[in-house]
Amino acid sequence: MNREGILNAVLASSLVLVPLWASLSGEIFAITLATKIAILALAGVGLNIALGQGGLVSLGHAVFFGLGGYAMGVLASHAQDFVPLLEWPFALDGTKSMPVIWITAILASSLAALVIGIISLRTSGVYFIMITLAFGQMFYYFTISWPAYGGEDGLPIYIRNSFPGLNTLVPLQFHFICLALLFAALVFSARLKTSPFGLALNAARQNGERVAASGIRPFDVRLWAFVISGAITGLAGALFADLNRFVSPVMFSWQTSGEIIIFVILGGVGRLFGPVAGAMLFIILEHFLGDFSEYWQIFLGLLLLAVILYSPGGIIGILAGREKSHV
Amino acid sequence: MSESILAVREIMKSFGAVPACRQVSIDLKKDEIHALIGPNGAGKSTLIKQICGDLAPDSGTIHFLGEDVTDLDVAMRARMGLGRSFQISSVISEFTVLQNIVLPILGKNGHVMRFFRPAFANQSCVDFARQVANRVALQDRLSVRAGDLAHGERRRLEIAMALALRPQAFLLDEPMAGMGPEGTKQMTGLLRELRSEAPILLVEHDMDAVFALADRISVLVNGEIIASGTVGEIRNNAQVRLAYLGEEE
Repeated sequence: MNREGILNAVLASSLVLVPLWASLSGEIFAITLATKIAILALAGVGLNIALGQGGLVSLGHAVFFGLGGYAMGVLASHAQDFVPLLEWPFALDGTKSMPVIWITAILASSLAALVIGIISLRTSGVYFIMITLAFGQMFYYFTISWPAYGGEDGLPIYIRNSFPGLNTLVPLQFHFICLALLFAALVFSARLKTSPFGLALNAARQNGERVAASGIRPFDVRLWAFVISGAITGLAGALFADLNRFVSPVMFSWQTSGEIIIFVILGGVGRLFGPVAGAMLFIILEHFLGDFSEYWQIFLGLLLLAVILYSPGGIIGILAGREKSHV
Repeated sequence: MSESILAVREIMKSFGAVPACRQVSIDLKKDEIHALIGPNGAGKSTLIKQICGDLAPDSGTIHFLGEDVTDLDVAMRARMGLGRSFQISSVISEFTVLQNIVLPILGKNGHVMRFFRPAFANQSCVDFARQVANRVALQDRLSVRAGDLAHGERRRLEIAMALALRPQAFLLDEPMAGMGPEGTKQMTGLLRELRSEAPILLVEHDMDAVFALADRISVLVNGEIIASGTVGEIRNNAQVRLAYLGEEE
């Protein structure tokens, strides 16, 4: 195994072992932190497909994160209030079932990514950033002004949703659900990278003209990548809402989009475990520096600056060196 | 017209008030090398871009393999077998040579929307890519990043990427540009071999290479084809000598 492989294994096992240790020693809060890391890393894994492999700097991934969150909020709130979601043309009840919520979150966010992608992928560079940001802000202000699901105050869900055969109220069990989904997304992302699709996507990032001359439409490849990317981030949003048992328009805010980008850049753009390393460092800094000072983001800013200036490969790049070609 | 692999008919293109192509018609027939020459700014690149699909003509048609491709995009024309090299080398620089060659094979086969199996697990695809690399003498450079190749090698990689499409026609935009005498000689030999694969529409400034290779030459000046004929005819054409060859010498 090369250095990056070892590093990845260390990161992955820490997300398994630390919560196990925390559970045995009664440090419940540490489990919650680890769960938060796993969920935010999952959102980052989604973005990393668009940003890292496809070079698409989306400042609108909060749309998908928020849609996932509201998919959970809307379905669960109807279930907890015993108010049907729809009465016409057919009766549809809310649900507290995680798998159903996840599928809804994935469908809603991929559909949004398809529409946003078709419009915004006609542009590139700074225009692409601005269009995706604009979509994010549209959703943000819409949820603020829409009173049905709490508006600006957000929407509390009193009991965590259920997963067949598990007790999701036990922090460790919920953690392993989130971790399993993160690992599944990482496996998918790794396979994607070496697949024909991944090859075309990585090529389109570097030279769209040459990809077209090779008989492949760069637009199509980027659009599919954007949809897959949005779907994964949407799933993370549903889990995040379940972790907090609360959804609010903040999930749609551009700060959320920015934080997901920070995970990816801090960890290492395009590196498989980049978002995991990035989210881990972010949450640890937030936790420990947050105790120390309200203005902990200043340190985050300095760190981000140092990474961008001195190690474009992020933490993974510092610790594992330049990426090896995967052939 | 039936033997024409590529048939450009009365293409017009202007940028604002500036005409770049005026009623240009040009053919590429089976087994030939058809050279397109002309001074800088004559509209060669604009014509090439319209044949590839980068630019849409204002009027006129382009037929490829008997089909009207005027409204098809670059990727569609490439999949039909229009293999291209660019005026300024255009490869995927972070990819290895082998990855670069595999890309058009995937495009041609329509295998791009496959998300799980590694591209390199497809043995027949990799074998074909190696064969293609052999033909352009890059077999020892397969795992080198394209960005690290020497200029001449990168030029040959572009030819390989065109070859990997199993092309019906080559569209080569100044393949000798920036090459030393040795590289030019090697490229001339390579192009001569390629002719058996598919006809070549060759834009080239190196007159020695053009005269050595071309079956026919068309001369583009100010967006118009002023002459078209065999090497001998073009050499002796007074108009061409005045407009173009005379200025060069």
